[in-house]
Amino acid sequence: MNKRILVVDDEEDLRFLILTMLEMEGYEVAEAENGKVALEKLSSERFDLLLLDLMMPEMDGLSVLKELERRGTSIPVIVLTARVDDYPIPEDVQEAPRVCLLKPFENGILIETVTDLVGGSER
Amino acid sequence: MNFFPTRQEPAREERAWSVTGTRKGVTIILRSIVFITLLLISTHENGHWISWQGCFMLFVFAISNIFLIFQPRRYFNSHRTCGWIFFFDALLVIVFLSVSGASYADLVAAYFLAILVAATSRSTAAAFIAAMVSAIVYGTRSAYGLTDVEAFSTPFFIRLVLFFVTAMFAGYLTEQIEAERRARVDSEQTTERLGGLDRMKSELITMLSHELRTPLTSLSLAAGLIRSGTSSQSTDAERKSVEIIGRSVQRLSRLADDVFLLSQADQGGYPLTAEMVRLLPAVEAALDAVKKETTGASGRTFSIDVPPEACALADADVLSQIVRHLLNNAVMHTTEGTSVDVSCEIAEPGFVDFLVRDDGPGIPEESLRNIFERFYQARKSAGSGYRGVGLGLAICRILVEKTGGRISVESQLGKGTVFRLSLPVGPRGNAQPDYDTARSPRGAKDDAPSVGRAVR
Repeated sequence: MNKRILVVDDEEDLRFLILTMLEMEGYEVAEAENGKVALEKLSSERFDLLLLDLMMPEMDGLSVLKELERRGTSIPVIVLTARVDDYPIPEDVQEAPRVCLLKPFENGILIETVTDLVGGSER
Repeated sequence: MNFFPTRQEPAREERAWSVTGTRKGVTIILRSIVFITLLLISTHENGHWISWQGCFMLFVFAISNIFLIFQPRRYFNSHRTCGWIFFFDALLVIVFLSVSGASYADLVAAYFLAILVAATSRSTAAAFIAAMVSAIVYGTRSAYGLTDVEAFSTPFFIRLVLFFVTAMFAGYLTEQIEAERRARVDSEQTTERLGGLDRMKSELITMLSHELRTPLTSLSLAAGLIRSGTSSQSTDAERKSVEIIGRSVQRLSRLADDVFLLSQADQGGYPLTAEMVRLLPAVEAALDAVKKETTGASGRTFSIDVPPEACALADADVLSQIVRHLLNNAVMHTTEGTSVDVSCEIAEPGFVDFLVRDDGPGIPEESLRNIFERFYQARKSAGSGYRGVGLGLAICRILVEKTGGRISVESQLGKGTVFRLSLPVGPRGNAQPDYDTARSPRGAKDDAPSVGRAVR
């Protein structure tokens, strides 16, 4: 079964680019434009990895992380952030692997990080 | 953040104190003069020196003056307080004059009117006019024999002078108080506005450097996608264009980094870690970045003479950033064909000195002093053409100081420039690195990633 990745970002362009890139790498991808939609998708579908922007309307990335922690879901997360100090995640939330990628990042780094967390695609 | 430092406001409180101090003294002295004069006039007119009425007035006056003397100077600051003092005085005069049996009704009315107008109009000019009117009314009535004193006699003139002095003093006081109050309000508003502007500027810069990164990410990813899709059929121009996009993204994100760093440094925090860092890899990384990002780097020859074992106590990223700024600076302000040497030496114990030397046109002496200031550009155009915003060396200085080191520059026109970077090699060095302030109170900085790197 292919690895499934959920990309959560309010920037449509960025979402499109990341989706295209991951699809080219052979991952199965889904998208969400804010934290609310992301949580809905997470509860109804299975995902192996979450790519999460922090600053989003409706529900931001930190709230998503808190909610995930409350639910006890341990899904690896790559946090996409534009600022170093956007990432004040309490230490006790660090159960699942969490990686922070500082914007702007290059394609190679993103792919590398994704591969590190979920393993390569089965293509 | 403090890009454009605002001038320090003088301590307003102190100024207000001295003015108020004068006002207190003058109030007490003037009302003493008025009362004693009135007392003298009345005793003179009554024909005997100290009457029981005079004693009574002296007593009330003395008590009230003692009360005023023991008031803090701030007490005289308000318009209302001074109004009450004059009201009290006017009342005292009326009581005194009525109990002393003399018919001073006109005098009192004129006196009272002048003070009232002066105090309510809050201007010396209005007070003068009020005193004038009082004097004319009083003078006219005297001339018709309707008052207690004969027109143009000595007591008459003494009264006129009293009108003027008291009324104008009341006017002066209220004017001063009003002006001071207005100045205070103005200055409070200005301070508030400046504070607001400063906050807005900080927020704007943080927001801007933050908001720049999202489109930059899209650009970077899009360029990457195109690059991975370019086949052998794509033209050199296409490949070159994609490369240029990538390089421009790098430069823009460096600028966003720099500006964000300065705003962080102004707010007092920039995360640093202290470790023994090898200089050579940092220099090589910086040189790579410069060669990749700075147009014109290919026209200079670089030589690195740093022993591989050379170390300094610093933050690896920060060290690389400092060197990158220095190299960048050397490229941007020299002409084609210049050679840039990087070397290191130990000039004093506890520090390792790191030298970036170029044989470019050099920096005029008058510019050397300001060269580490923000937005300062020694020469708007050197051979390679002017570029940049003048933040590089300012950032260098901030980062070097935070690391506990020093940076200095020597230059001779026509002969070249040497930047000397002294970095501590151990915690026993003279300078204690400024590491602890960098820790975030949230304690999350330890998990924070380094710039441009993924950190688990």
